[in-house]
Amino acid sequence: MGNKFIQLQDVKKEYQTGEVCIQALKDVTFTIDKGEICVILGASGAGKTTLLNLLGGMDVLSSGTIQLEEKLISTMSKKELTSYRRHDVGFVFQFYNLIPTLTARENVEIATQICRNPMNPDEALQLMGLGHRSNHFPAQLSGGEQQRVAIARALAKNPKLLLCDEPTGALDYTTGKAILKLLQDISRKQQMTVVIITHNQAIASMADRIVHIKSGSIAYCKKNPDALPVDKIEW
Amino acid sequence: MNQVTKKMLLRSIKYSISRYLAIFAIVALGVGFFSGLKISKKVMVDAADTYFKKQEMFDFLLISTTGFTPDESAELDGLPDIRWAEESISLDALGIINQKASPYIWLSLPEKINLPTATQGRLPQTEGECLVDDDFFSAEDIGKPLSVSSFNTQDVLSGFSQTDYTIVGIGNSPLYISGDRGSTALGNGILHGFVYILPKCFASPVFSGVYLRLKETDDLYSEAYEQRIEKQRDKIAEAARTLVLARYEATSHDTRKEDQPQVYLFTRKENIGYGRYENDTEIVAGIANVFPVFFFLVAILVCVTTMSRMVDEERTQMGVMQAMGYSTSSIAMKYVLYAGSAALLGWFFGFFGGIWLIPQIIWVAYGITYHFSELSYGVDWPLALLTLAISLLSSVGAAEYSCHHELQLPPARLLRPRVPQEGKRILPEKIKFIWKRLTFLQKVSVRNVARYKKRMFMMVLGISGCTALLVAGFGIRDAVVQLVDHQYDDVLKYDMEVGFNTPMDSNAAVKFMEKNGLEDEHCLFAYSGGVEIPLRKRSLSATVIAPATTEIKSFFHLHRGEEELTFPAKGEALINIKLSQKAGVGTGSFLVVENSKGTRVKLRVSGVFDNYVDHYLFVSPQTYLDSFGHAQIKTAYIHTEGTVTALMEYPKVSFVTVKADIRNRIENSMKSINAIVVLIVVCAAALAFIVLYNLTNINITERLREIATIKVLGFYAKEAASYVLRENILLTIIGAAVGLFLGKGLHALVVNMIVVDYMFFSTNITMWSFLLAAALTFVFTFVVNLVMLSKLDKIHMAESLKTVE
Repeated sequence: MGNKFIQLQDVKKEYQTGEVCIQALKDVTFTIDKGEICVILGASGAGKTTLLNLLGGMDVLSSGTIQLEEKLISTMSKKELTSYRRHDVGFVFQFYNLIPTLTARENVEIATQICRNPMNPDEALQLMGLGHRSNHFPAQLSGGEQQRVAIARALAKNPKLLLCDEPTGALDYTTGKAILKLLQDISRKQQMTVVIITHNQAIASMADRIVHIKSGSIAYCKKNPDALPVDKIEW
Repeated sequence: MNQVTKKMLLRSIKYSISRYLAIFAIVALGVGFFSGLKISKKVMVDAADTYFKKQEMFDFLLISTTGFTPDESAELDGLPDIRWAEESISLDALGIINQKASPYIWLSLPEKINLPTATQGRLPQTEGECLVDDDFFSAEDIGKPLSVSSFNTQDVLSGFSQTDYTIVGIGNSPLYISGDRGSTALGNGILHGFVYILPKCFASPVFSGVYLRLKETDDLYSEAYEQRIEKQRDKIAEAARTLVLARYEATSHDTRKEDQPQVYLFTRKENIGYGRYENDTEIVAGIANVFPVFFFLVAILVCVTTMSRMVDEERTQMGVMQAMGYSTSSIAMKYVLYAGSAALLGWFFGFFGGIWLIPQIIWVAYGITYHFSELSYGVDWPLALLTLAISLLSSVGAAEYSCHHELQLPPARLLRPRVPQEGKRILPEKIKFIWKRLTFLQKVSVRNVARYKKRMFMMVLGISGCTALLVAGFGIRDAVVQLVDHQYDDVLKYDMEVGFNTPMDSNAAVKFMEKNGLEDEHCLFAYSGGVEIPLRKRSLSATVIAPATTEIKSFFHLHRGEEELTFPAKGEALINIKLSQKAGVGTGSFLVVENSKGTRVKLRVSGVFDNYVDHYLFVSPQTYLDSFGHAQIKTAYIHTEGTVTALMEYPKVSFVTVKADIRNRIENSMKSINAIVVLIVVCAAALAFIVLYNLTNINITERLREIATIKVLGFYAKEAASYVLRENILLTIIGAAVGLFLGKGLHALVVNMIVVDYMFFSTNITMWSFLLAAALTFVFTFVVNLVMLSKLDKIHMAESLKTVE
């Protein structure tokens, strides 16, 4: 049993568009331990991304609490949330979201310039096996390479939490697997808490904790003591 | 800003350079036009200020009915606050050159005050030499003889100790910086220029007047100067009166010629050129307040639409920056600096370019009337600051406004694509009658116009602005052309005006007509003379014509629109429309008229006629006799194919004026207007181009996927292009229509501002001008569309469809 790292309690998220009220999440309660790889499963539109955004301080919940270690994320002001994202969180998106006018190194640098305990950008790229591509623009990189730059960008911040939204969604099977292996290695080596969203059930086997969301509610949340290395997973 | 974000900004400029330049260009245009026009007034005033100071323009002019003696002049010179006093003689007299006689004002060459300058040749140095007016003489006249005509009255002739002169130079005088020379009792009432001769060429024992110059100098047309004049005038007038009265008292009773002598004090305000110039600088300032405001408005709108588009494009990027923990202000900073730097550069080039170029254009435009010196440039720093502030505020404000809303949202919203607008049924759809008749693609275009309301509104605004400017510009040209045509074809119907040196009774008239092969119906005899119409601040020169018969229609067509006017009865006068407007006197009211001797009468206005140049009053000879005491027929208006020389050979003829000559002169002086019209057309084109190009650009980049999709569906290149450009055409039609209306209003506004005392500009715009304005607008749109065509062609289908949703 690890120590409680993230705690969600009765989290509810509603959207109001005109007269219609959409319940994106309701009664979400679970915890994630430090150093865990947590996979959040669910079909399209189930509410996974919403949940991730709340965890990362990218959105504000309607009711309930989210706590990271001692910090209460759910009541933070806009400025505090910005600070939180700056120092404590690293994001990896499905479509990479690199700045097209910056090189690979500069894309990492833009994140390291503002946090208090960053890695050296070149080192981060080296870690991702892209040291020789640091001067290339995203347009000159393949999908997998772009995603690796994005991960380097997130990691270089030395965050407490790494949030990944369908990180392999736009990649082929082999490249996708390579990315997932990277994430797993980082988590193990650096004791970093990694949350991965996916609709691919097979990936769940790599996780230490699996959370299944269905229509905005938690279907189940269980620990997986037999987490497999990514190499051993096929789909 | 850290290193990387700095790089981001610079590269963002590099990769969207046409967007950057759009902001730069519209700011430069607005600032340049505004600053250039605004500073033109200052530059014009400065030029005159320098000139008047250099030429020692007078501050006061004293005139007495008994003149001034040299001693009295010396006394005045010794007054405190007076730097100099200088006597001056002026005499209206007919002069003959090239066998043509014209009325001139002969002036004594001064040494201290109101110094003339020779622009060609030199100033006279001996008694037999003279300097003439470069507005009426050319360099070819140097060396020619000019004499005082023997047809002058004895009174006039006795004023000269010398009658024969050689022209040694042509030049200008600070007393006459405009083309007006004033009115006279001689000839047809209008002076044909000045002639400077040495003081000893005059035979008068006393001087006509004394000019005074104050010790202190102030800025031209300034409040300080007005106040100083107010303070001094009574003292000086008193001093002069005392001196003149003392002399009068000293003469014995029987040699006294008249009652108590009168002393009159004049300031610069009564000088025609001085007053007109002030007027004209005000006009320039007036235009500066009207036109450029429009440009600023457009500039702000362009900034807002451009930055909104940019923010829209970079939504996701902004979201990612927020995800990384960048603050709202640091993210907004990029857009603020993008727009702000473009505006700053635009301001710089616009301001310094504008204040250099536009005054030059204005000066050339006014150069026909005023050519007393070169322009000197100056920088108006308060104006610079004002325009800078407006430029920065609008660009930075636009940037802030564009990203403010987005950055307030939770960052997650930015990462999600923008919710596309719902399709809606639009108003034109409901009009089944029209809707049924449109093709499918036409319907799509109409829907699109409704879809992007803000952008389309802006396009209409830009296009209508362009059309309005063109209409106003061409309308001004129309007014000018109509002015000349109407005046010299419609109102003045005679060919020549003949002046006689003796009164022509009916016998003399018949003899004259016989000798020159003229029929009765070819000649209209009349009294013609110059009068002043006193206004609140100054007076207008007008010509009184008292024709011998009442049937004058074939010589002067006096009508107001369709309404023909009847000949005035006793005590009545017909006056021209401009005079009526300026004096605020309409049909039924009384007009105060003053002749050259200072006699004032009130005439009842019985009608107001259309007229475009100069001021005229038509009265019966009896009215004139009753009002001013004498009505000698010494003028005739004739229809003839003959030559001037033939007429001049008739001994009683003292001068002949050919209407065609005057028409040419006016047409030439109107050429300055053409320069201004060209300026307006160019700016209109620039405005249209920038707005259209920018907005179409935005339109295309926003709908890239849509356009790529239809290409995939199999639209040919032209069809894909018209898919977007059809909207441009539709909007150009709407914009041009709106612009035609706006243009009429703008034109009326401008005509109101371009007020010249003695010219009447009609607000009528010809059909051709409207058509031309609309046509040119379409040409501009066409050019933009052509450029856009190539851009549309280059859209890569596959690449565009790859972008993430």
